[in-house]
Amino acid sequence: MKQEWKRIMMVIGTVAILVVVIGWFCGFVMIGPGLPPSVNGWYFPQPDGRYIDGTRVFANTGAEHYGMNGPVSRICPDMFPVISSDCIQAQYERFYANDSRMDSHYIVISWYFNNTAKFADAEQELNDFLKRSGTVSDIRLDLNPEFQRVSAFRADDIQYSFTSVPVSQYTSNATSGYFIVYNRPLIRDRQDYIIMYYGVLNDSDIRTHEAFLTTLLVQGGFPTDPGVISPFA
Amino acid sequence: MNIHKTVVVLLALLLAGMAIVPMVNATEPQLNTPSKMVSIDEAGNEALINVQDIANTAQGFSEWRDSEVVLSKTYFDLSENPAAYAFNVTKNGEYNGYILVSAQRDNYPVLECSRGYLPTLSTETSIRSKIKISESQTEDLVIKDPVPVYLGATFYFNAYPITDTTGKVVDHAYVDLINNRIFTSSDMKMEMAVNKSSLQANAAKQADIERLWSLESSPSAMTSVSSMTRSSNYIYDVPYYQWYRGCSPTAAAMVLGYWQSHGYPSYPTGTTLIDELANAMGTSSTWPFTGATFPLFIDDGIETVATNHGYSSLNSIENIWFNTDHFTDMTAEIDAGRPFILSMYGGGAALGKPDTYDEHSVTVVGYVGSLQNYLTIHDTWNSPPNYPLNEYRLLANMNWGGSMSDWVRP
Repeated sequence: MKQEWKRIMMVIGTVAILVVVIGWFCGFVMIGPGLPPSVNGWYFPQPDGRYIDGTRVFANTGAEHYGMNGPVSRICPDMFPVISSDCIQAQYERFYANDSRMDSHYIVISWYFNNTAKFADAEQELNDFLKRSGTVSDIRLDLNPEFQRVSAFRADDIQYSFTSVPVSQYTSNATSGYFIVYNRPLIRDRQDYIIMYYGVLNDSDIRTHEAFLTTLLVQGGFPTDPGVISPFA
Repeated sequence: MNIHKTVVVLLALLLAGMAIVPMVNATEPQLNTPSKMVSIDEAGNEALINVQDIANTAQGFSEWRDSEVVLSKTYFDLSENPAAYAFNVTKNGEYNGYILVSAQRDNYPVLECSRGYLPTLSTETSIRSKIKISESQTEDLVIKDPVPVYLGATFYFNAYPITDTTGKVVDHAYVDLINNRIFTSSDMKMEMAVNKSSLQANAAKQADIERLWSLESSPSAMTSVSSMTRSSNYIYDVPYYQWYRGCSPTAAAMVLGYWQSHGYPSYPTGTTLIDELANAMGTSSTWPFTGATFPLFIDDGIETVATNHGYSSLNSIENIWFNTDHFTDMTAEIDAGRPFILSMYGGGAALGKPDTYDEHSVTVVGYVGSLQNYLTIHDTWNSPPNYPLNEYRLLANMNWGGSMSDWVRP
């Protein structure tokens, strides 16, 4: 009986050592996943078209068009608290078909986190601030109109399995827009968290800008795996 | 998988392990011998030569033509030997970026360059670090002014010497300028033990480094830079796919995506193609190897996908390169109009970029033969502020510990 027990323990020990050795080898030999330390900015709308008075505009987006006003900046505006040192923002503007500018100015902000606890703290801090400074409500943003609008222009063959996304709608006099959270969007076992904000500046009437803010969200691309997208906690 | 393939896989695992173990365990190079030190004047000359070379070579650096360089900072290693000299690149008195030159001859002359700014201590981190350091010290200890420390791409620190009442340095505290983290001396030793790689482990890389230093130290180097012959080639129309499911299937998809628009229309594109390749090459989707691929399966996966779409004549050939320079082979493949996949172990950073590639697959779409030879790559990482999306990057030849390439010949 003792011999049998010893044999079982030897087998278990050998298997355990083999698992560790193979795991060690795999860790060294396998290539990838190959992601950079930070994936902040991966969901920014990226202009790829012509220039209008120094503004780089999106190509093939219809009669009205829009572009990024100035470069992407790593210095984020002070309208929201500093919740992450890895924050980038860019401003956008719209043009009529004759290339004249519209009055409204838009902003996209992205805060990146590589730590679950820090992300949770930041989310709470931002949520508290939003409730103090404006009105917040969880809604589902309908993406169908934008999908239909751009379907004629997209070169890729992405098939979306959903037609709306959960967002937190925020309105205030300084800015109004949508917050959306991407939880571990690329690899489920890597701690990547991104809070995105798509907003209009100096305007509390979000209904007027809903369609264009949806355009920015869709143009930036977004993760499509189930459970990745959420509004604020 | 047949027995032959299994034996090849096991043999490759063993070889890879043998190649990597010395890189991890190699003793720290002895950097402070006088013959290996680079003076500030020599470094300034290196900076000036390379600024002109980069201006003529790299996308987005053309404004560096006819610029001047001004020493802005000297970085040290953990033994307080000079590690790198940072020079501001200026034109007509205006700041236009920086270039970091090695202070030791057993490293590449140019360590980094950028149109941006060197990392500095944010106000928030500065306050946080002072509080943390003061919390850990006793009344008898004093914190001195920080010393800038550079330990490789993305490893920028401020080292705060902590002295006793006699002025003797008894410890250091380190603030990571990239991630805003604070380390004790023991933390740093552990961190560096994990991240350190030995340049001396790779003989071909050392030979390349010696070639560059000798080439650029000649008095006529500055003249020869402006008049030297550059060889380059670039394959247009290779699509740019952002990382999805894993770097190897994404890199392979860019190659097949190119052939899709060059006579092989049955291939899908985008994420559909990446999905097919990831499945065919066995890219892992389970922890802890999510997104990782055995490089020996890359060519098999490509051939499987090709066969599935009716192109059974496609031939994908893998080349395993540990310590040898194959720049000529790679340029021949590009000159033949065939983009290919390069998989790296211990990959360094692209020119002007802070993040190292480590274990990563990229698509090679061109090359530039210059003072330093570069590969033009699609690295799957492009995103703002690096837009436009199809921006390529330049990776110095041999800027990796080991590599493997997969030719794709339809």
